[in-house]
Amino acid sequence: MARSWATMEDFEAFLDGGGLVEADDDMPDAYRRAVFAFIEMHANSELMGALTERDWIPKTPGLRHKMAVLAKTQDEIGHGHLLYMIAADLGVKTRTQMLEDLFAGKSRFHNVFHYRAVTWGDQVAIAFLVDAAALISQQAVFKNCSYGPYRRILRRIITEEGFHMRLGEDRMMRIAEGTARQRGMFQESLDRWFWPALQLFGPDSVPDDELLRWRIKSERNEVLRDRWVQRFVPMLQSYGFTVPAPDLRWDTEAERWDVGPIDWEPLRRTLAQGGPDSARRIGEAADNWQHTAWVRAALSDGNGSGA
Amino acid sequence: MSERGAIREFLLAFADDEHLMGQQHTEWIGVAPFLEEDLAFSSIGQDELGHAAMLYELVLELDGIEPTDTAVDTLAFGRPSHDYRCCHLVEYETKDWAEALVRHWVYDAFEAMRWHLVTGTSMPKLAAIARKALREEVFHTRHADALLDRLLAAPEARSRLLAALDAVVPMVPGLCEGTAGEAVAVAEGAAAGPTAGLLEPLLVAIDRRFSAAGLDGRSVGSACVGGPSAGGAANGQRGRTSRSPDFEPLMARMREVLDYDSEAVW
Amino acid sequence: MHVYEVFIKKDGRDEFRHVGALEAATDELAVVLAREGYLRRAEGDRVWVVRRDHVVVADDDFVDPNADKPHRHHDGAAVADRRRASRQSQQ
Repeated sequence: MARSWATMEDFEAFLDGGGLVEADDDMPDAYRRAVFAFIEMHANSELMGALTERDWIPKTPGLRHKMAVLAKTQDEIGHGHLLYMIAADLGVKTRTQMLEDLFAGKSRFHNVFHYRAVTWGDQVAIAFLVDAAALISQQAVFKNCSYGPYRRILRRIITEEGFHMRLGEDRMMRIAEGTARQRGMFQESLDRWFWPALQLFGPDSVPDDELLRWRIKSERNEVLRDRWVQRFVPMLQSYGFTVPAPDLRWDTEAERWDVGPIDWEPLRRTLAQGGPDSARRIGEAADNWQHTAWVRAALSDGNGSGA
Repeated sequence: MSERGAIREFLLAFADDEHLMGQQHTEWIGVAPFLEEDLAFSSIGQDELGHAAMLYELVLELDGIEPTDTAVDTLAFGRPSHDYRCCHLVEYETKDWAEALVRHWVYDAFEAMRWHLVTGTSMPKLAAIARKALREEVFHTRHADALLDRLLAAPEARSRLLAALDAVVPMVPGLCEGTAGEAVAVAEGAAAGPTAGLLEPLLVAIDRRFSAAGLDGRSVGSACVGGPSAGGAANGQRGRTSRSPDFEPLMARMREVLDYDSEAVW
Repeated sequence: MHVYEVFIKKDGRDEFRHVGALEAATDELAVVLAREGYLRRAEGDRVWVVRRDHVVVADDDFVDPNADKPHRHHDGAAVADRRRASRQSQQ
């Protein structure tokens, strides 16, 4: 039933012509693995992001504020759900395998979710800076992604990320207009989160990046990173916060902000060995996964029809 | 107690129960047994917090205070512990998801009955909240029932759930305990009857829900401290004025950011 | 567990539309879980869930020949030409 392509050249010609690949197509194995790995990492990042925020949800200052924060974290789990479902349909791993690999510490996810949110200010900085970075990346994928199921759910994900960014900005503005203690707390959060958020985009794309060639991504990492810098550096400054980049300068000729050289060592170390807080959070999630195994076992039991 | 004071106590107990129940459900975000359930349970928690906020607004109006979000938060988080009117069931820190699910079912069965007590209330705003809440309760009940239908049919899950029921049921009389002066509030038309009147029908509903799945002839009523007819004293809540040991650590966590800077608006 | 496909619609606005899938043990759980999975902001006011193994799927190339039936697509240009010719002959 599925479409198939005799050679990689035929497949790439199909992609170059704007073709969309569907789950039941007989796609080249290299493409299948690449798109799967990309979606799995996105799914893991949504879930790990929710677990990062989870620490602070019970402490959210305010009842209606807590409802809004819960709705945001719920969306992230929802995104994880949508992404794990379409990743599973690629037939590389089941949803359970993906989750168990994540909880066993075998899987990759965005660098930022290896760090701990140590104050409430960090929670707001994540909602503002990190969600914006994720949104910029996702918009670029959505624009031209060759994998149909991913592109379709990204429309929903992007809409919901828009709510989150506005929530983050609203909360950041309250802090900016708030007390000296609040502002001090948030400045410390910026000092902690600015560089990890910037590094979420990754180092410059390699020239022959297959993710770009196959239109899984459609823009280079450095382009996306720069879009974030040009937007957030002036915004943070306008609210009276200091961007923690010692070499930051306004390039009058190019009319753009230059954050100076980027030290990629923290990113490499985080992705290779895990970050300062990921082991604890993954450990907690793994414990909870094990403690609720009886629920999944009981639900999976039998044919499940009707009832 | 004045009529206004009696109605205030009644509303405050309702609001505090909804607030803490919502808070407890939200503790499962990110770690529910499976992703679809995570989404559903989080929504139920959000609904309960929303009910709490609306009920706190009614209390503020009775107090003659403009019900801003800040005023709601001061009322929700800012009282000394003896001024809360929640029951011990919603303060209880569950040991596992079986207890969380059983408490969810029991609480929502009770909550629907409690909203029905106020659908014909003399307070138009409370009646409007009840209508909204009862529409939401349909989902809460279907959610808990759909899970229990399936889980009670599986032997291991059933034994875990019945153990959870044993932990939860002794707190049921406290759930149905009214506040001081509730008879006055009922006489004023705030509610159609006393909260304590919900205990018998709730125990019947619990029996029906769980006996079909193998309570083995036991009745949950006998597991309640002092039986269904026991008054407030037996459950240790003393008219919802005393807190259980789980309350302080929970409230301290909920207040951590608020306490960081008492001048701040977040 | 079964995989269920989820379809939603907003009354009067569109056809039922496929929005994704979920895993559930029973039909009732599938409906309950679909609500918070796909309709948290009332994206639709109606929802269908269908077990994936109950969906009957036709081959892609089964429909494909119907993409080449020009006689079923009356060409507006031809009609416009005739109208123009008719108007001119009346002048």
